[in-house]
Amino acid sequence: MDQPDEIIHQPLRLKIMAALRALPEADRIEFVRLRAIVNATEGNLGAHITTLEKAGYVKVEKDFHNNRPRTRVAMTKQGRRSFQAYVDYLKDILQPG
Amino acid sequence: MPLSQDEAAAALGEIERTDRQTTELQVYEGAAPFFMVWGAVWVFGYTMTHFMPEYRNAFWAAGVAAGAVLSIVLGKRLGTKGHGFSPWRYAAISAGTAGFFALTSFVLKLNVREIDAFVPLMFAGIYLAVGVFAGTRFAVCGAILAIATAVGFYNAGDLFGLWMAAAGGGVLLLTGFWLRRV
Repeated sequence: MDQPDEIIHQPLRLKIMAALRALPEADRIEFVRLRAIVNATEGNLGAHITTLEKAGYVKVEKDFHNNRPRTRVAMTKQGRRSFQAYVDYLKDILQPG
Repeated sequence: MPLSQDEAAAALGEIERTDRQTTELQVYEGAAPFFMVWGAVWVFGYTMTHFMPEYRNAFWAAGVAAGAVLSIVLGKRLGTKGHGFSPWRYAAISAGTAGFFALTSFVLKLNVREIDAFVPLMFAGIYLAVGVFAGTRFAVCGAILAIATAVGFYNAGDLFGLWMAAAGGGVLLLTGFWLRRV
């Protein structure tokens, strides 16, 4: 990889992907918890999640829990692979060869 | 445009910070129901033994058994989500802890009041130690629990049991609610 993955490299999307990668595989995180971790506004977070979803890096699930709407986000396998490639790219810059 | 070494280091640092914060919140979320369960057990045990001290052992045995069963159920649920222990580990921890306190109280010949202070002080120490590794909220809980126990032990007189129900059980319950918050 000669260039960073521009979809992941944006600061807020990087945080989103890092937070999702910290979860056990196939686990999901509620939108409100993710918002607190990445410290973003609802609208901003929603927009960036849409970008990641369009790229196939995350999937969004909406349902009702205890009669309240709930939005949960998970990292896809493709997202996990791309994020790992991005991390490897960063490490290669720091330790070339 | 390729990244500089500084930019790469900053990005890796951000990933590490976010990873740590997410893991911490996941641990908090997983621990919250256990604090609530055991907080309720403490409220029940200390309150009942204050008013009916002759049934002390029966009340505590019933409370601890209920707490252990609920912990196993919770552990099973969390285990299926990928961030919990197996239910038998919770059972083993509960049995081991109860055995340790029973044996220590016997060996040290502690009276009832001293046992009522010793157990929460031990847990306070455990929470403080856990807090160093797993998140500051545990350490805060341990510190408040230790202070509340010491204050009650020296100042609550005959109301020490009720004090521990409110302060000890209350601290655990409030910690449970706090851990659930993001």
